[in-house]
Amino acid sequence: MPHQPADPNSVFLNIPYDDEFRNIYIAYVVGLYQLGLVPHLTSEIPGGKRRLDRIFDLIKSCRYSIHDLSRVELSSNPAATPRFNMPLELGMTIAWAELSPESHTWSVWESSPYRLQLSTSDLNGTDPNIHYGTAEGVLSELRSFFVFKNAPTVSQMLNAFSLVERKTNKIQATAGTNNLYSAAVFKDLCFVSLIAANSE
Amino acid sequence: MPRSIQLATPRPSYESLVKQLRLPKTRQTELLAIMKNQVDDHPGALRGRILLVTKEERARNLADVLGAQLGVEVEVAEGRKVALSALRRGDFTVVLIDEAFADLDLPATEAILLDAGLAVPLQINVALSGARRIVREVRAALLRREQEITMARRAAAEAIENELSITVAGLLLHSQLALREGEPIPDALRKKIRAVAELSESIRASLAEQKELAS
Repeated sequence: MPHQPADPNSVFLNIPYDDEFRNIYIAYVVGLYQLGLVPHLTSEIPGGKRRLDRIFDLIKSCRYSIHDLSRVELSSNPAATPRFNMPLELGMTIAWAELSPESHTWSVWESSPYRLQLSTSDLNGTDPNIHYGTAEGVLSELRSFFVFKNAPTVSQMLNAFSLVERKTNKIQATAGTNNLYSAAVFKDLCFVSLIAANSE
Repeated sequence: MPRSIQLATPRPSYESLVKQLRLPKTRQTELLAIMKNQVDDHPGALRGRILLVTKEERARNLADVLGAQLGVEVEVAEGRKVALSALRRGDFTVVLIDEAFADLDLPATEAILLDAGLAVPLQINVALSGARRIVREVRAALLRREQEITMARRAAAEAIENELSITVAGLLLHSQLALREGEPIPDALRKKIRAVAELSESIRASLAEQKELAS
């Protein structure tokens, strides 16, 4: 089926929207902008269509995707339930990349080397990118994964991350929301990450 | 899944990436100010002073701890008279009223709240709350206030923009109608009316662009 060509610089971020993931999330946004790439989240897309359709549209519009499964675990609510959304989106992405390999490249990111083998053994043989649950780990892995001439050093990327991270509370306060993953705050984070990338 | 991806160069320009974000100009300015340290980094960062109204014995110690943790001066008032006099002397950012005091003297509490002006009023049980909790409550109240101010500013900006749009549309319509009237208009006046029409059109286009970016 014909489809809109994917934006060559866009990256679909399949990440958990929780407080514990805050710094890793900021590191992804800052790091991708440092490498001239544009992150996208499902929360950006306006409503109207079925959520699953919107997610699939977003995946198709992005040239790359990062699926961070480091927080795929049982929820803390009573009747602890495994969190399936991210693996589901990873599955959709893999299917899309199989159907249209020239349009999409996906990658799986984890916090420790062997967790993926335990959680998703079907992906055995796939080397995940390991960030060890730290912002520095994310930046270092992003730089190793997306290679280009004259890329900033990890130390430069870390400086940009620290700058944006320090301003995040203020950004949230002036955006009038406590939700770091809302479309508005995400857009703001993208803008300040751009400023930080441009000031290097 | 590849171990690495070779990206093509050159990378997209800063300008094209900013354009892609479609962030309203006003928000871009706000964020630039935040990044340039023209705005406090910490929401709820305190300026000014706190007035603590309580009869609690350990009030002085508490004031010292609060002052150190919040980085501001904390003045203690043990009763209505002292509190009202302090409020008249100067601006306070927060007025903290001990719940025990409020329960004992409701008229005094009401008088203090009436004179508190723009200070954020907070009632807290000093005997039961630790300094950490009070600090947290003060910061949360200031954060709420800051968010309310931001939202009020946005609403005011939107109202002004709407008002301006209507005025500009009226100006544009009247100037264009004047230019199309059958009766002859002196050249000098025609030139002026045309300038008004062009200016109105340019403001209208700029307002429409801003509105689209903000949506």
